[in-house]
Amino acid sequence: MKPKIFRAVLLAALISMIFFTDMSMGSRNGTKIFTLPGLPRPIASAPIVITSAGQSTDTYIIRDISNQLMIRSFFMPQAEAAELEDIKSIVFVVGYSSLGMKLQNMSYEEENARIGKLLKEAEENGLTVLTVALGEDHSYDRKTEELLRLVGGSSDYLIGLRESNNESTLIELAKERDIPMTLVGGIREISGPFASAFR
Amino acid sequence: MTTLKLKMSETKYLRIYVAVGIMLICLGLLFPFSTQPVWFNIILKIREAINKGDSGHLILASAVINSLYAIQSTFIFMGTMLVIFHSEIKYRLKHFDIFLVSLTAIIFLHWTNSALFELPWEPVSTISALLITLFLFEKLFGETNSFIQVFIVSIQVFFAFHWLNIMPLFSAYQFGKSDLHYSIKIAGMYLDAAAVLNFSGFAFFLPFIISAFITATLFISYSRNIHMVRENYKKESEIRNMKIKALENRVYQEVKSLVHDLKTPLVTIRGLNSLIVSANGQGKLEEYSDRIENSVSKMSEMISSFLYESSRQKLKASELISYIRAQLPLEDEEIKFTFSIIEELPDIYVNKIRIARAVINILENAIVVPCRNPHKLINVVVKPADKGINIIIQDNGIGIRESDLGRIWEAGYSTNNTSGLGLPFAKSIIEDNEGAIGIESRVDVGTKATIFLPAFDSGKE
Repeated sequence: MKPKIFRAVLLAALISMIFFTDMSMGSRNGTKIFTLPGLPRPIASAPIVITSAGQSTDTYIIRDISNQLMIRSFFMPQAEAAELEDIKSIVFVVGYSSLGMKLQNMSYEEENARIGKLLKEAEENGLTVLTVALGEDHSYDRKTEELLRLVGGSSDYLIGLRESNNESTLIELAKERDIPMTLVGGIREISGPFASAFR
Repeated sequence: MTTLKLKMSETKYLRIYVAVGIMLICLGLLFPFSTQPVWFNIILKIREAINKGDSGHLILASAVINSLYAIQSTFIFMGTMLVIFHSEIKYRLKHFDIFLVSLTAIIFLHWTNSALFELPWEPVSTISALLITLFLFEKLFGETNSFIQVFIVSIQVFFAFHWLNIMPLFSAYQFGKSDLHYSIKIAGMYLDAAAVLNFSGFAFFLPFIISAFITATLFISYSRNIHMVRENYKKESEIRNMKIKALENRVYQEVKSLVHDLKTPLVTIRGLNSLIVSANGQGKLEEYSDRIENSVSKMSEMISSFLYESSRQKLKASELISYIRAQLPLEDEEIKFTFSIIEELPDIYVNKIRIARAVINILENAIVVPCRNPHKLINVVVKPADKGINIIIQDNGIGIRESDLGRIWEAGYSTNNTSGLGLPFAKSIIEDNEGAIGIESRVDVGTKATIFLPAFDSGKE
């Protein structure tokens, strides 16, 4: 093989690997969207279940916020439909973590099925569903988006971060399904809209 | 046959290196799998940090995750380089192509590993570290040829760059986008510890990257020093060999001188033989026969003296001096020789021919030494000494500097552009005959050589 062709092939391989690694930030919304700072009146009531959709550590942050707000909650990252007895509301914290899934010895399909059952149970029993999606500095992940679409479509309230990878999906869901949504500037501002759902 | 054996053993070693390289690549690829509990422990540490509100756990988690990533990248890097540098790729490709192949192969292995084991990798920090490591590899391996030193440097570079992944400051530049680094950063921001993470990132990145460069520089300079020492040793042994050869050559010259000296009695024998023919019974046959016998004895003595270096004879000092005078080139009118021989000198016990060659060497030095005076004067004094005699040779040449006096006995050292072998040769012969030699000199005044030769001791013989 001629040196020039050889080099071109190597460079092409390099570029394609970087391209397939996908370091993009997902499709971010360029336009400024005005969302509610919080709900005008509470839509959910305690006791609540805080569960994960994707087993990322973000769930632990929402549990901490809930504890600080002294909302009566049960923290069950792998909650099953049978465990929703006497529960009034369910909070999904969306974020796919491959390591988190391995730690819980779960597959993506199993996680999807578990969430599906929870949503079905919530609908049947009239539970309020809240979705929180952080994903501020995370690289764009197809599985996170799928989980967000699955959970967010059946939610009563969406909370997310501005300029995160989930922003455009959240806006799309809010528009399509007419779901109230709050986007905040940073992780520490989450507690405001989260509290507004209960008080 | 030997070349073939060498080639076979070389090929065997190359194969071992390639096998080690492949093993390292496999270790790197399987590393996340074999260390899975440690990775899970990082998640537990992040959870603990959120639960307790303690950002210290995040720093600890960062240290563990960065170490794991650095070890994995170093294994893959070292394995790839071992394979490339011990296979035919090295000989078939040009310099830049080797760099390109290494870069592509290492990125491909990281990418494959990430796809196979679903363990996200950090492309920006890994590629940045890889470029720096390849740069240092080129400098370091070119000088030291040591993979262990490359390993020490590269692990530091990879470890340093992975610390940039926990810094929220660099998120905009695509650093720290994988699961765990993101979790550390988001937890850090929630705990209001973004500044702590930024500071910690710098606090680990800078010292490790500086240390990597310093270590590489030290390894390079150490390797250069070792190389210089080896070169010097090689040169010294070459000089030593040259000196030995020169000394051997000197011995050859001495043999030539002896052969030349042997011609004198031969000429006598031939002359007398022709006289015998012409004398034809005139009553001189007996005289000529005696003289021929003397010449033959002389020749025999000369040959024996040279053949048997340790053989020594009882000898009159005057006889030695006469023999030396007969060998000296005295035709140069600008050189004035004076010989003062004290009467009643004791008999000496030396190898006449060899000692004569030694003294002639000293005299030749006096003859060739440059002189600032219009006439060169060479005084030879022979006088009795304690248990022997002293032969003192003094010239009025330019002399020898005090700093050079200590080195005049070294073979090959000369202040007059001569071979520098005369003095060591003379000293060696004199000492073999239980004598001694000393040299005193003053610049622009002259040089004085004192040769001691032992007296004959009847009991010793």
